[in-house]
Amino acid sequence: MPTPTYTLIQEQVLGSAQAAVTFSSIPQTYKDLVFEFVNTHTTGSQTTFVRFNGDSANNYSYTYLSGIGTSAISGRGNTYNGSVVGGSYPTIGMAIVNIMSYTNTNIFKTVIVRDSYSSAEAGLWVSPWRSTAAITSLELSSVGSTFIAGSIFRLWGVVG
Amino acid sequence: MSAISLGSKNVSGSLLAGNTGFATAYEHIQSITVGSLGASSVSFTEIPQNYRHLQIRLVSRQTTAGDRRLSVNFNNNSTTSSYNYHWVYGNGTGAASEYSASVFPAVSYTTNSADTGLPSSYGAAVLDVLDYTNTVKNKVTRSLSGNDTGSTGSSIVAFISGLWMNTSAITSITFSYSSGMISQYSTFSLYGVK
Repeated sequence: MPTPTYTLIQEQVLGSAQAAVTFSSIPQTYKDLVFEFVNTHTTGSQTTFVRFNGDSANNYSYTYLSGIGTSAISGRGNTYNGSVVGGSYPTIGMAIVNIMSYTNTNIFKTVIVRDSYSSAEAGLWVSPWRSTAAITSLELSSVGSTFIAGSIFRLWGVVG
Repeated sequence: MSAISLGSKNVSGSLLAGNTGFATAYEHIQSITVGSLGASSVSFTEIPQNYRHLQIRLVSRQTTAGDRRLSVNFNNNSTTSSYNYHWVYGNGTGAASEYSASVFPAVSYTTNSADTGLPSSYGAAVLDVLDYTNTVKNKVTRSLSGNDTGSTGSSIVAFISGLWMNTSAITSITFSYSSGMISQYSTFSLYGVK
């Protein structure tokens, strides 16, 4: 019997709208985390981000590459109060968030993301958390918006 | 807002593959972490031949200032004319696409010693090597890569597609920079995909 390499740590399916989704007490036994979600927001054109270990200070930054309609654009934010994982739109969207070496206390935590929102954008993001602390919790939220009922969030641990 | 206590389970139906049984389709083969002296290269050798694809998940930093592209070659084949790559990237000010011929394919654009004040910042990539045992096809790679240094240095997020014009089955994979070394704490993990 092969040893599972991707292990589902937790899944949350919203029964009602929520402003934020939290995963706490994250096991420290994996190498990487993969966080995936399919969601729709109540309002659009805002930023969706993840905060680690409750850190809401400007200890994050981001660079993105995005295709929107007929344009390909790139931008960056040198300081931000969350790790950006895409935009938020009132249409269904998804993202796969790779949180690399999340238990390594010698390095900052690099986060690389693929996101896509129907009728909105296809995007690629890198958004590190400038902390060497091991990640024990993460909270996903969006500026000025909520996740509607039925939105799905899964946290996976990757052995390595 | 709710925070639910956790439990571990293996399930199917992940968004990652959209297929049942995904959780057991990946197997961890080996991990390498660079020690205090750094490394001129990192290699996976004697790669098992019983998977369909390979995936490498890595974080890396370069010890010196210079070309930040971490590159890959296969089976110790140093004939650069056998390799090409394309990448589409964003650097925070604009989107661009480039093609490079006769060079080892880049798999990641990482941080280096020029990123002063951020010695703990590392670039990351998820690299897929497809059909690596197939002796009819040339070998292709795809990489999702990013590094971000805030205000102190260059930042790149990229999709990269690489080509090795050789039909040999891949038995070894080597990562290196064109100058400098791979820094301590850089980590490379190899997975087999069934």
